[in-house]
Amino acid sequence: MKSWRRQAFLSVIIVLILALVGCATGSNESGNEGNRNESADQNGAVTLRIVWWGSQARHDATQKAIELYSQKNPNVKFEAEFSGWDGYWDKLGVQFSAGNAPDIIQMDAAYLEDYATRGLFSELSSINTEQVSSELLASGKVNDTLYAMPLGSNAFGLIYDKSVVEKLGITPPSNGWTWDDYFAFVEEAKAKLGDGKSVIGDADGIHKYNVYQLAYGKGDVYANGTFNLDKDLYIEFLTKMKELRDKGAVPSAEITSAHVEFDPTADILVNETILMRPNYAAQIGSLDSLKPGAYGVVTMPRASESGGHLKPSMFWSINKSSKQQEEAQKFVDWFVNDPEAAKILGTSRGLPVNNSNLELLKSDFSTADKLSAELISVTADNNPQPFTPEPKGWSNFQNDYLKIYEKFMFDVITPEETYEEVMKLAQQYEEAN
Amino acid sequence: MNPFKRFKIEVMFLWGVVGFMTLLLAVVSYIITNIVTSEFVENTSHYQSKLLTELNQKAINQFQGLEQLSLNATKAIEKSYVQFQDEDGSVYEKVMAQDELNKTLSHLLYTTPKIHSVELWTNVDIIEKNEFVRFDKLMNYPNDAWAEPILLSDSAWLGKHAITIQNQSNNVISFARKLYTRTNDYYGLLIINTDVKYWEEVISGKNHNSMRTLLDSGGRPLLHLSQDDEDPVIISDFTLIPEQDSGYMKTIINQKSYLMVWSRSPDSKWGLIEFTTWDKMVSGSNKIRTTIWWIGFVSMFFILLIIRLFVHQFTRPIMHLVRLMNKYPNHKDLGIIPNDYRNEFGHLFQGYRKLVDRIESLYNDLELQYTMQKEVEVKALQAMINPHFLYNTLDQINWAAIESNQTNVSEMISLLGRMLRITLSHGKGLITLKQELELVQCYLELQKIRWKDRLSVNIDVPEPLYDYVIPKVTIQPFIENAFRHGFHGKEKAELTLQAYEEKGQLSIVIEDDGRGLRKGWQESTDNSFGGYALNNVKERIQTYFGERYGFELNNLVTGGVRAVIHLPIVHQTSQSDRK
Repeated sequence: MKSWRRQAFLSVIIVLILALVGCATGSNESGNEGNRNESADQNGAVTLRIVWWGSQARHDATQKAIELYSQKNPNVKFEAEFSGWDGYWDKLGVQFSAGNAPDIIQMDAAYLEDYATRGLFSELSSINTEQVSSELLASGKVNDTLYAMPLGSNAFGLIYDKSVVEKLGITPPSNGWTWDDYFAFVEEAKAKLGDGKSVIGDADGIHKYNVYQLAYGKGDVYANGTFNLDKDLYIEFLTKMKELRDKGAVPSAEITSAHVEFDPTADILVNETILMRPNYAAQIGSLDSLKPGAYGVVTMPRASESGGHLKPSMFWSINKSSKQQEEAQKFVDWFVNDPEAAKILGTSRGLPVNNSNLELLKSDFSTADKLSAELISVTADNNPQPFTPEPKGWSNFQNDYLKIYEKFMFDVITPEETYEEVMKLAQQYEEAN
Repeated sequence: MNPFKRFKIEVMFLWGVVGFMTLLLAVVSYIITNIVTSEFVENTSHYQSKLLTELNQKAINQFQGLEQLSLNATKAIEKSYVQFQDEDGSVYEKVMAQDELNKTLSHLLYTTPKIHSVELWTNVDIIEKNEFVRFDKLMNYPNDAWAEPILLSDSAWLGKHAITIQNQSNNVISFARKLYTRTNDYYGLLIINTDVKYWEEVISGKNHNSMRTLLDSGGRPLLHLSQDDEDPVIISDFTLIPEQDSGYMKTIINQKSYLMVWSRSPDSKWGLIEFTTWDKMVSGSNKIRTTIWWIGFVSMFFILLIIRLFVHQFTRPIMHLVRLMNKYPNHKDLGIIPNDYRNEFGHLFQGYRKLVDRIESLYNDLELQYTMQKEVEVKALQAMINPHFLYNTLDQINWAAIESNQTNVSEMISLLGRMLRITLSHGKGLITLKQELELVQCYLELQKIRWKDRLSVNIDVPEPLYDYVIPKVTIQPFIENAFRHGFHGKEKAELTLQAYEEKGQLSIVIEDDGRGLRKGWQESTDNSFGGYALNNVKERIQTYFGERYGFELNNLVTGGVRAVIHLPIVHQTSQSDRK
């Protein structure tokens, strides 16, 4: 009896000492890491800290999914922190510098490269990505290593007013069409439309031109973190735009400036001033709500290469200093691939990246969601371009670019002069960063 | 104790049927009520859930439309806001931007009738031009519970709360969306308020009496539709609703039962729940139950009547029989046993009739036998008195003969006396064969005195038979007959007596060479032809041993008579039992 007690006492002491040493070495290894990450205890119980931003609907869906995962894996518990976009990145930055960042982190394309290159994320090696398109997956890679698991997908393609096209009696555009087909379609439609109506919008954002440059194999304008504008191609494209504007196939500068996207009266696609424009798949809902059932989707025109790309909505990344690497990856894998999870999550993070889950959900989709899914799948089927995020610090470039382009629209400057001014602007941005 | 053995058939029958019918009714009504209730619940929930799905979808479409509307407005708002806030901009530009903001938001308000008012919360002061388009500073944002959901989200629905504009308070449901600039900076909060009445209209469909609750994606009730204050929807815990897209369950809230039917959109996860009081669910089946009981009781009444009739018809013959049996020994008239039944009762009555017949004949036989036995006994008594009297008298005669030296006479008298003693044999009916032979011997010696040498007698009885028992004076009458009738007037006489055992029978054969039997000897009842004695022998044998036994009397071809007496083999020991 006595010896038994002494043994028990001794073992308690030993465990305590070991625990203390463990903590000490743990904090030695990971610098000034907080206690909250020391969450695995002897019986395999694990607590995962997970953070995301988003709408209340996303919070609800995610919490339900987490609950289900805990039910299926009783050893895993979650500490969830969620918020709106505001403050999310400030808080995350502080948490990382304080060493108590969460285990699983919702990521945005704009921040991914920054965090990944700083070595804050683990490689996602044990996640099944069979059902995820490789182009989309590439968007989660930094230096060919997967640091972020895409969760929802979005595609850049064309949306056109099907009802008007049908009324005109012209052949609707088909997926995989070329820029030549595109311009032919514009000419044909303009001929039928007559005066006062146009076919396509002006190229008032760099993204529209970017598709052209990508199709002709000259790469993304933001490739490799520098501003990569092909002079000849750019001038050619702008000249074509001017030509179409003069013909009335592109609306006049006045009309273009009055355009307010998704405004019930001021959106030129909605008010039928034009009948086609580039759009992200996720925005189809906005258009469909304004003119339900009127729109169709088609891939971006191609040339030697395709013009469209797939864009991830957001990602899960895993904190490199998390103690629960394995469990965290297991959860992310489940989150992306499990059909039950997909059912609960729905489209709370955009259309699911897992293709079989997408098929599973389709029956419940609204018309807008179905159209989005269609655009994503046709874009994916036509060798999409990799998604290139805007370089850091360039978020205002669009606004400044627009000011130069407006001058071109109003015929204040020629295409060549426009090129010069844009390059000058780009140089300022490059220098600033 | 088995009641079927205890109670009267009619009672058992009636109560059994009543009990069984009641049980059957109870079971049937229970089952039918349950089936009807569950059918009804299923039906109701089916249609309710269909309607709910439709209404829910309608509501969701409206809500999503609003979400989209707010999303669509963000670009325009941002454009004006950026201009308004631009430090480099002129005062004119700012005023224009402020007007533009007002215009954009008013536009929202005017083009969409369900919008009650629009709020924009930013960090700058914007002048209001319309009381239903309100601007405020983010720092003033209320910290009420209803306002909370947006704090941690980019967009959220804010449940029912009151807004007062122009001294008029309205309940609204609001959609809130955080606004971000192109560079992803948070600058404001757009809130679109919609009148609750509008949504109530949507989810009530055309039925304004229903109790319904609209739940958002997190299962939080956004809106209640109900009549009274004791509304179940306000207090229920909606997180308990299963994850299925639609379904129904019975819930008990405040000790009241409700059918809860829900439908949840698989897409947006918004749900609509309808509560129906359980009383309504079961009222139909209660009616059916009452009807079943009524039908049951009425039909039970008629069935009982019919059963009573049946049972009566069935028990009547039985009762009849019972009465007959009770009356039986006193009233023997078999004419009152009915003979018109052709079924089991017919068999019963016929059986009873046979039984009674049989009993009657047995009675008669018994009576006959009894009288006969009495007669025999009387005769025996008479026979017993005579010998005693004779014996004593003979003794006197014997002495007289001895005194007068009449040796022959004395000898004859003493032989007669011996015979009488044997005949008496203490009143026993049965004596051993040996004793009977002694009697025969005495009689023969008596005859020898008269017949001298002219009489020859052969007696051949094996000694083992001596102990067999026979009725007394069985052989002697035949010998006496031989002398009285056969040898009458003959010179010489020969008599043979044999006894043997054969097939379990004792046979005694007496042969004489006399004149043979006269015709019609059997009919004579007087003593003159010996018929009386022989009949007496026969009667006695048959009284003792039954009809199988007796004797045969035949004339022999050579002249004379042969008598064969058939007797059972009875030992002396068993003889005493037979007395």
